[in-house]
Amino acid sequence: MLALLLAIGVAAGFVTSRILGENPSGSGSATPVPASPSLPVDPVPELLPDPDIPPLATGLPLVRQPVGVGDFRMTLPVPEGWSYFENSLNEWQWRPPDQPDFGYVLRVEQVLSNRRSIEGTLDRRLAELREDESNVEVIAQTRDSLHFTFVTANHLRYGYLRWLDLTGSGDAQVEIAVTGREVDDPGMAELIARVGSGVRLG
Amino acid sequence: MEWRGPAALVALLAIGVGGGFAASAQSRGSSIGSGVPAPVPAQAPEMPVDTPEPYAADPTDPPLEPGIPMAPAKLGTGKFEITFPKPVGWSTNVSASNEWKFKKPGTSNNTYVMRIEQINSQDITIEDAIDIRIERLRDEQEDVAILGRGADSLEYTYRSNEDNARHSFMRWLDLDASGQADVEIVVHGRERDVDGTRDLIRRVAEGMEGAGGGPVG
Repeated sequence: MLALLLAIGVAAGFVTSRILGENPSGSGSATPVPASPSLPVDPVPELLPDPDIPPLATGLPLVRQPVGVGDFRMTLPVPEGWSYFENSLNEWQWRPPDQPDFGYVLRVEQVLSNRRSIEGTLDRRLAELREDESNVEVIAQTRDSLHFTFVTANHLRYGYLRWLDLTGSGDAQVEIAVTGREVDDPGMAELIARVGSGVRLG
Repeated sequence: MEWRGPAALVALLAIGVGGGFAASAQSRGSSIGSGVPAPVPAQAPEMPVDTPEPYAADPTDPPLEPGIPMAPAKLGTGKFEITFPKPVGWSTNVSASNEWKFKKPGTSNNTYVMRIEQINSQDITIEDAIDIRIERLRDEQEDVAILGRGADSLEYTYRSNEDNARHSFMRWLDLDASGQADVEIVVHGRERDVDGTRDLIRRVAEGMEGAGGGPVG
């Protein structure tokens, strides 16, 4: 009987020790541990496949199109045959006709009423992107341009932005944007360069 | 008795020395002191402060009065056309494809002026538009004081680039209930114009509509 009691006691003690050993109470005061990653980041969402259309080609034929009114009328080269949309009195958009969503698109906006320098416009635009879109990554940045990726509606998008000061006013006057898929990136780089160098007042 | 004279002299000398010492002690406030000089805490104020710069004199044109005659006017084209009540006789100056300034002809600079801008291309809410405006005012202007902020309005004073004291009112409109700001209205004036500028922006904002009374954009 004494031996049994001793055995039960030993077993109970052994189990109790095991349980406490797995959840040690620790000692000393609790202190924060480094998080990983150290800064909050957007979780990478599940990406949906891009529309299956050919990549934006380089060397597209361009035609000049006027936009704006009065003293603020300007002409610019845009891809021939693309559909034209007026987003507002000072913003215009072009994309291939009958293109599915999440293809590629050209957008031009007169931003002179904002009265912001190109540097200030770029900073503001980047802040807006980070606020409005997810997983924004800057690939390249210059004094007057931005090349970046972001995720919208579960699609990975590539974007180019460029700003022009056509009269040397010190402010950004025109914003040009081209957005598309990863496969469109080379064509987008070439398109925004050609459009940007071809904008003329009047 | 021979000793009395020298005694009197000694007494007078003692009195003189004592009086001189007392007089010196009284006037010792600006003594050169001793030891190594060390900075002492400043008194009232402890920190340097800018002397308030005076404002430039305002033009003496009569103040803008409330209740001036207004007539319907249009801005923009097609689906981006807006209608609003415009002060009768005021001139319109196009400052961008999407921005217009209005002024009573003949009034001096730094009196009162109204600006209307279609801002739907910015794709921002009214709340964000107000935040951005306040941030820019504080970055770019002097003596900015926010007097009032509403859900779609802002009232503030600031020092103009010409050093005039300005009192401004702003309103933002979402004409198509899209959740985005479509139009920004600003009226700047002098302090003496406040009754008129407050009345003007209220009447313009309340009377503004999108194309055909419908949505803009």
